[in-house]
Amino acid sequence: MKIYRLSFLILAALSLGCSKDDAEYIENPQFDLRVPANFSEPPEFPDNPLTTAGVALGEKLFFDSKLSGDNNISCATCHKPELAFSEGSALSTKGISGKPLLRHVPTLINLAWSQNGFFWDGGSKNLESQAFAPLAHEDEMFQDLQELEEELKAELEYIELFENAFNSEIKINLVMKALAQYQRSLIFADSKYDKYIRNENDVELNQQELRGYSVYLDNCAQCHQSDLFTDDNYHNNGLDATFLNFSNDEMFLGRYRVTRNPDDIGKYKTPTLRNVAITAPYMHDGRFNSLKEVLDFYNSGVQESETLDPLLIQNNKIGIELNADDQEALLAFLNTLTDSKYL
Amino acid sequence: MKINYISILVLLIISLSSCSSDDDAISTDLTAASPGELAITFDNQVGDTDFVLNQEFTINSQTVTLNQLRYWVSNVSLINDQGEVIVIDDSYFLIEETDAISIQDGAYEYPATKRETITLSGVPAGNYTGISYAIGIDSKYNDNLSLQAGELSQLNGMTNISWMWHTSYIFTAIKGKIVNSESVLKLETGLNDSYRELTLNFDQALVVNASDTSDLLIKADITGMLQGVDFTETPVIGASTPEAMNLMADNFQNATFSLEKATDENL
Repeated sequence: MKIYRLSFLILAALSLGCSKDDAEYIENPQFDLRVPANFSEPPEFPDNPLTTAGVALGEKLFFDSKLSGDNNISCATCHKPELAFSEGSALSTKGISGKPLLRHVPTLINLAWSQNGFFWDGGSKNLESQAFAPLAHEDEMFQDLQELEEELKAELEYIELFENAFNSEIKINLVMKALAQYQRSLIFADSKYDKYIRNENDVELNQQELRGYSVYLDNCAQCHQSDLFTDDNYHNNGLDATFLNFSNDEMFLGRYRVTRNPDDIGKYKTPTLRNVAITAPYMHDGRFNSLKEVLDFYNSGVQESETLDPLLIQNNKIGIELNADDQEALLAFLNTLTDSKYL
Repeated sequence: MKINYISILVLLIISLSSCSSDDDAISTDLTAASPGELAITFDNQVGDTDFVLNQEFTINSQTVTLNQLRYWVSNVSLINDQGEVIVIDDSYFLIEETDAISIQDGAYEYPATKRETITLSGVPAGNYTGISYAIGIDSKYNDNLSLQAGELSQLNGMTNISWMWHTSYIFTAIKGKIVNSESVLKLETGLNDSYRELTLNFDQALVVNASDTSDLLIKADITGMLQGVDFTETPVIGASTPEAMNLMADNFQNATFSLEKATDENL
């Protein structure tokens, strides 16, 4: 069976047309994403390639409070650069309704390498689509998307920036593309650990940190895989023994509500350990206030359930048992993962 | 609706006449193709009665009124008598009969709308024997709301920006109430697993050419869409009721659409 696509006509039409210099063409070079030597090559984003003008526009939008319904909060209100783009409280109340959110604000670290879903449960498949949720949700930025388009169109500067970045007038989907480009440009890879691992400037880890590194490799690295320090995957790390709260669209059942697979009950995305020393509190609901609390939890608080990750059961014992010295050493190592570039 | 190639063809003709001296030959070629127009109407009915918003109908033995009926028709292609398939690019159409809709928890209002006809321009001349289309949005566009094609929009209330936080399109939406109990009905499908394709064959070839608009009248039976749906058991269907959602998606594929009439006015 032959299949014709009408788009072939476009190609034919274009190739037949007489050539003419496009005076409208605007220079917008590709954005040079600095790939650290200890990272893999990031995936390509053919539908939204990073450009210099796109990233710059995304940055301006990210910090612009016009993006919220009452023009009081921006993306950066809850994704603060000084906290590696996290927020600092367990459940933020900075949204327009002032109601506490149901999940902890995540960091925005090395997202160009993140390909396996966004939000703690992976409910969004890419950063472009993800942006619609916080922008529109009544407990977050509660923005009328049509109104946002009009507000941006009222500013000459934005008209020019969209023209430069996308060779287009202002459209809501381009707002999402620009925000995604900016977020993908945020690379955290200049911590003390990075310099040590890349042999830069003779940076060394001290004995305590090296011992902690070895504790990390033995106990944490399977989920918090180096050098992104996350496996970009979903696990039940034993925070809860039961999952009986079906409220809020099954928000408390973890990734199950996205996949409808019972094996995914209680699973959440592995957060990166990069900048972990400055991004308290911890877990998807921010229940632990300090890294010491987190280690204590893994030591003696892990709850058994059907979907508990098998990695957390070793020699018939649940959890990750570390003696006080190993805990101290691990904390010292985790402190070497802080990159203060954007802080 | 937008079909870009048409405007490009127009541009081509203009540009040829402005820069080429032997445009005659090519213009003749274009005339030989002589594309035509095809209007496709989705006639929403309840059984054999024309559907009217907010009017009482008996469906699944319950008296209901509906104030919203919306579904995406996408990826349209036509099959001709040579067995060739003509794919209509960027074909994403929202068919709807709806009261005004409060969008984003009241942030703004989408106006009352009735839209049941889509018009395809630039359809190559030929004798067509069938049409294929899908109900819903294919995964490429459903997974990425920032990609633009056809009538896809984030502004018309057919996206799930807070529904389960699956940022994707709502494929079909039927809303209203059960009259006796005043119970609200909110029956939606979405997510990639609900995407369904179907084909309707014509009894007689439908001629498309430049001289007139050809018409396809497709019956869309709401009792078919809701076949087997238990309004008392699942008055709200969505991502958290995957079985009911799957049933409705199957209904859209198998029990909803039938060809009522294919007419070419050129006879």
